[in-house]
Amino acid sequence: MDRKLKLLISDDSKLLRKKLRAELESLDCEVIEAENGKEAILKEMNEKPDGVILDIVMPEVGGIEALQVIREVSPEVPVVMLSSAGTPQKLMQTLKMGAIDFIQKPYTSEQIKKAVEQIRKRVEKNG
Amino acid sequence: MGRQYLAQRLFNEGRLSRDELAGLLGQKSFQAVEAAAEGLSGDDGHPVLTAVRKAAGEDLQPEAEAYGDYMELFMESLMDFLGAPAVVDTVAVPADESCDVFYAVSQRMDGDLSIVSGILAERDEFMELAVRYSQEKVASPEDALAIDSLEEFLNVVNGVFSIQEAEKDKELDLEVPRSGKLMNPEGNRQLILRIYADFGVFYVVLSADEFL
Repeated sequence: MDRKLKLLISDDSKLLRKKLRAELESLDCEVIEAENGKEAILKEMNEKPDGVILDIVMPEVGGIEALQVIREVSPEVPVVMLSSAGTPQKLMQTLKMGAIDFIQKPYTSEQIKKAVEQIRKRVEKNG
Repeated sequence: MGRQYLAQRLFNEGRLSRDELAGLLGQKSFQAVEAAAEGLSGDDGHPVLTAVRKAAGEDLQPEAEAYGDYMELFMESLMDFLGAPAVVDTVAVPADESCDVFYAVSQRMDGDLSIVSGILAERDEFMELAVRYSQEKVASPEDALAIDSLEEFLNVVNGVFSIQEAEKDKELDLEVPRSGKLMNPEGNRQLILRIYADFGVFYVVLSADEFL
């Protein structure tokens, strides 16, 4: 893949978005931000990112509802959950709904790198 | 949590006063704690839980175990994520204790248990907590980044707590954190704990419903 990976990150925490943006940009990704699930759905439809990184606990529309809508609208777009709410139930629920991975907060750089690689492989596979 | 654990045990046994503790936690060397710890009696493997049980007393008996489990994780997280050695007081703070305005963040966990946890601090301590977690400069305790930092810290701690509870077959959902300013928290089944950290004093509030 010879262009930058365009990723949408959705988290209500400004601090997390700032840190994650820096992390992703260091991995040569272009980053779009959303503050909640509603904004994530709209930006996913309008900006057509290569992948989405989604928090669960967010105001207005939460991450699980956003995942459901994104999977319906863009079933081929890989979604990685990044949340503090990583109970086995939430993990199973989101993976069954089509998320490709679940990262428990606080994340490590290694986990983000691995998630980016997973998204990149999906994008290359989907052509 | 090594020396922090020893300091909590010494405090629980009344061998460190509140004044001594405040001075001691700010020191780089914990030699005094280690020396005093040589004569510790018993073998309390959960000194934070012991302190919370004492603070909760008879009135909060049904809640004391969950609150104690929560505080063990919270105190460990203070050390892990903020590098803040700290000790929890064994005496609860009355809700109407006269104080200045507190800056506060809270988050509700609902499901098989209903717990709201929150951090209350005066200006300087609130900012110090925020700076330590975010590693960012914050201009005031009302700076969005300061509030965001402590909401995220609480969210991370509560996420780990919900996973620990899931291992006991108790499912908890996290709600969106809140923030604000207040003088007296007013929640049901409420426990206010004074935390002595290396940078000063702040409070943790635990209750069955929202106090903010």
